[in-house]
Amino acid sequence: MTDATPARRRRRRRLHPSGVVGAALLAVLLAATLLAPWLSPRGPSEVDLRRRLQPPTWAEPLGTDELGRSTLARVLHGGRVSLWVAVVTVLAAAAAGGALGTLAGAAPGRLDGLLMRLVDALLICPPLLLALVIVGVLGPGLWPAAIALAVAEAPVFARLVRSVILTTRELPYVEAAVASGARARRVLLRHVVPAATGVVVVQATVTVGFVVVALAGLGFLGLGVQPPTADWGDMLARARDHLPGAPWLMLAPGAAITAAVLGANLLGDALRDALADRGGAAAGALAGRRPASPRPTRGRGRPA
Amino acid sequence: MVAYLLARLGGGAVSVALLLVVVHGLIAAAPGDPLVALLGPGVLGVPEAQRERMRSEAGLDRPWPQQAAAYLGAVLRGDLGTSRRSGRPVAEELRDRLPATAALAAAALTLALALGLIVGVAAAAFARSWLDPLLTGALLLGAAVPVYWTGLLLLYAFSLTLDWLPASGGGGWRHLLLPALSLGLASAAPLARVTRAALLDALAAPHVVAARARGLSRPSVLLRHGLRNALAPVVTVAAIDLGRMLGGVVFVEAVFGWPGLGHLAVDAILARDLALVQGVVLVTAVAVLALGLLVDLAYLRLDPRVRYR
Repeated sequence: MTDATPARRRRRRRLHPSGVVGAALLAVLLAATLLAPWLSPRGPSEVDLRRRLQPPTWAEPLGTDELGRSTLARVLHGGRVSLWVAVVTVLAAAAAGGALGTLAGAAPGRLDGLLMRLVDALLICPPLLLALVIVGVLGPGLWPAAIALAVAEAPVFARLVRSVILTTRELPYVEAAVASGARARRVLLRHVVPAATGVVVVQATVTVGFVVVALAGLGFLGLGVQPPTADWGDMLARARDHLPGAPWLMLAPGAAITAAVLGANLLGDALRDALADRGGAAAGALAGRRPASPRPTRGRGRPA
Repeated sequence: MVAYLLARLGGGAVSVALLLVVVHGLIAAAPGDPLVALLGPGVLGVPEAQRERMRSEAGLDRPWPQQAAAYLGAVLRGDLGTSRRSGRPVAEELRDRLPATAALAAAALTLALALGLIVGVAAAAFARSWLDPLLTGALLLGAAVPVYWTGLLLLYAFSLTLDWLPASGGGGWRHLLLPALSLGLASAAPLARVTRAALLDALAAPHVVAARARGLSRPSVLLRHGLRNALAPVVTVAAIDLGRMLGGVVFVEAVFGWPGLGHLAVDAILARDLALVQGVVLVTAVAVLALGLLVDLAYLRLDPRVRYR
């Protein structure tokens, strides 16, 4: 960012190596959860009271919990909940928010104004707190938690997509499409909305990290997954109860969450840089989550 | 300037009102009898005729827009309703818990700013040595660690194993240190990354090259000519981060049993005490807006070219 050379080099290479590392990290984690039954000899709910709270051994590389269940099996199977549900949640948030943003961007001024006031109002509430409110309404559980997080993250996508639509529809090629007699709907869906794909993908990637933490966090608070289903957050909550004696219980689930977030952040940052190098109307839309406010004219540093 | 301030305050008030209406609507749309949601399942033992009267006294028989308007009116008069869990006014419950969370957030932000600035400046100052990739890597990892895991690790190390600090509860600075550190570490990493990037940007400016050419000392160039110009984006990120941090408060308070608003919110949700939940949303929204305004005012000091009209 300080000079043009790295940017040009990056453009040729397309994705920064750190992004490839992030993608690989995510792929390994997702694959491990899918292969859970083959990677771990025991099932996640297999109770064995003779082997309670055992430290790591060759047979049980991550130790056992208070019911003698295998921590390895629970981390791997827990990922199916914590990781896959997070991915689905982000897809839902992107789809719902994107649709709302498209509607606002295409709608006449008054409806747009109303929708955006609503979105801005939701954005002043931290997403996690908004999710907590919705869980409070729906009651605890995995799917309520996922729905809550999808609703809480959707406004970010709505703002993003709307801003891209507003800048894109002023571009000459859109004018050309209108002039060539394409119907408004076709212009919107075929020529304007696709311009938002890049930013939505970047935002979605970064959001996966946040949602993994929040979903596991809701499990940690007892508001997400209900026992006996394994989940990284619920595992950490149980680990806390056995803390002085059985520290190994908290290592694997915490490390798994960290690895997932690290992967999503690395990939998201690299995608964002690649998108910024490509330039275009969309790249500027990703500056921050806060509703627009006056910013100083220079020195907008992006994180390295 | 005064007009700008008034416009910001007015806009903020409208946003908070809208948020409260949305949350009120969510709660009204909840499945189940709203009277039960308001007063608890005990109300089902009351005869139907009496329940009908309670319903009309609480305004639950009126259409939702009227209920929402009545709720907003009550909030404007300072009446946030009654907590179903404790039977006390919500405003009182919030007042009891707010200081603990404010102390936690302030301590965490101070730690995050101090740590973030020091590490970010160090990484930028040694941008061409082995230290920078090391720090950058550590920051990437630091930004990925979930705050409740940091909390558990600190709890295990410093209170359960070394027995230096208390593990749980509210109280003096000894109780505050570990929760503040958990939260602060989580926010320090993104701050340090922005500081590094903004400082590198600022150091490439011609006036910095000129300062260096005049023979000014390295620290002076770095801090007075570089960092001074890099602070505006750092403050922006600090503000965005603060919103996230306010979310993280919920987890940290749960790990350490810190008696603040986050703890209150979780207890309220587990008890489905929705008036109390709404109160927490109100306090948080006002805090977020106030901080945003403070940040925009801070720009005036940090960058004299900024003007608000």
